Amino acid sequence: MHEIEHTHPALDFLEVAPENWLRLGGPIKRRFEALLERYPLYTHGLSLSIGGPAPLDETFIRAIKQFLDDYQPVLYSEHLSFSSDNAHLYDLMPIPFTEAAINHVVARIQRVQDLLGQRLVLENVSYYTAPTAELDELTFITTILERADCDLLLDVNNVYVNSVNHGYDPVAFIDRIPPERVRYLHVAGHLQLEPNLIIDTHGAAVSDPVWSLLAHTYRRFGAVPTLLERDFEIPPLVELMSEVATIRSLADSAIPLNAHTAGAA
Amino acid sequence: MSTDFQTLQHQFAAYIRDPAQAPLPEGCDPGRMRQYHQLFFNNFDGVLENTFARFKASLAPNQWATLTQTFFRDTPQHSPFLADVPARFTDFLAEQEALALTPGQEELAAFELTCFELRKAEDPDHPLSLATDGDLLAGHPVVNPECLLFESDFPVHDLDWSPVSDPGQLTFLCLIRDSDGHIQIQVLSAASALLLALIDENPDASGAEIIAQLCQQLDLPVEETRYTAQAQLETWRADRIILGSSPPTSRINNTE
Repeated sequence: MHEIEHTHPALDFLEVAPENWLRLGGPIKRRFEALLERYPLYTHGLSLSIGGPAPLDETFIRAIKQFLDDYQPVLYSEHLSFSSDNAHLYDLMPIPFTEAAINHVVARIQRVQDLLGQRLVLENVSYYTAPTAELDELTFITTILERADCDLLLDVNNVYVNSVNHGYDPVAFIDRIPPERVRYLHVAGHLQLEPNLIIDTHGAAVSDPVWSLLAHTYRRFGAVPTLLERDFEIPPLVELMSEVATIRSLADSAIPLNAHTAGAA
Repeated sequence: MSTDFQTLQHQFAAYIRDPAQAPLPEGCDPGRMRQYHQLFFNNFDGVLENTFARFKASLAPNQWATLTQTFFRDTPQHSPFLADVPARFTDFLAEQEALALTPGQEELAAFELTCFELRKAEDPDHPLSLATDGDLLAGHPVVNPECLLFESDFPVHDLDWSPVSDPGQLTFLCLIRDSDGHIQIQVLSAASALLLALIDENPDASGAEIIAQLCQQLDLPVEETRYTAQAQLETWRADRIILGSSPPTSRINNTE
């Protein structure tokens, strides 16, 4: 954050998790607000638990709405996952890929969209193992997008991670995503533990296969706004800006759909 | 008939919390579920380690692991905010029986939590009628809402104090969030701490009335104490513990 504040790098937007900022005060809040004078804001929530088994926390959703009303971000995105059962775990678990789960999630998305007065943009999450499924991941995701009439945050790294972890073709996966739903992209680095197990760490530079998949994604969907995620082992900003430059160059070679391309979280 | 999806979700979360005891959810790989357990636990552990660095340093590594793993496994988190986890951890420390802690260790954890909470605290409303150069005896001294009093039976602020082996010592601290968001600490005398507490407890009283009450409670001579107390208030104003004064609107112990 200090480096962004002091050098004002050429970023098209910043992304934050509302949960981490909406109850903050003091100097850190003023620094956050000063950055918003320079950069458009995208938001990416963590604790909505849209697929969770417990009732939606509408008090929390109203707090999110207040944050969105206060800061007017370009969009509010979340994860197509659950992060709590009856209590929070603050991380992402895969929703069982079943018809009953689809019905449950669709009703909850519609309720959240009503409460927020805007469309949700939900991310395909990485996962390492999942309970016995009735459907494949892609059918699960695309059915929910269509029935709930919400949008997709296509996390290109997650597609690659899951393709390795669960043995599918990531390009074929991307090719079956309906283009009109793709509103926002994420890319990030990961950690390959075994030949068939990658952990989605956001703690390394973006890998070559993910860059290739991102190039393919742009060819299919155009230059959709794209965030470079980095949460751990954060290098000097100049290294991250070099990855941002790669994002821009890949996006430039695709059909230009949108002026906003590259941001940082 | 396959297990319904919500049962699977409960099993999935239960296994992440306690892979040693919980049944494996149908269809899940046990090795990869252990990855989930480790990743989720590490997230908790990182937040706790950042908040309670000195408390952690007072423990052997296996003792810290016992506490954090028990906490992760047994304590349900009902707040959607990860930043609420440290407060739940100090509640857990007071109730847990997995490890015997000294009173000094529990107090150190409470102190570190207070610093953490003050660093991120939401901005309070400043009084509309604040006069930064106002008279602190005729008016009500306005305490900076970004500071608070921390009383302890131990010198928790002292980095050389051992919460395990050193004796207690009645300690009064004023914690102040500075303009960089860092916590500054001032050590107060018992009388100064009471003066600050009385200001806070009597938002409508003048500085002079508050000093009179201080004298009454501590059995101090009013005239001499007024001089030293006024000097203390002015020092606090210079240090931004007091922001100025507002007009007093009633008297202490007003029974009307």
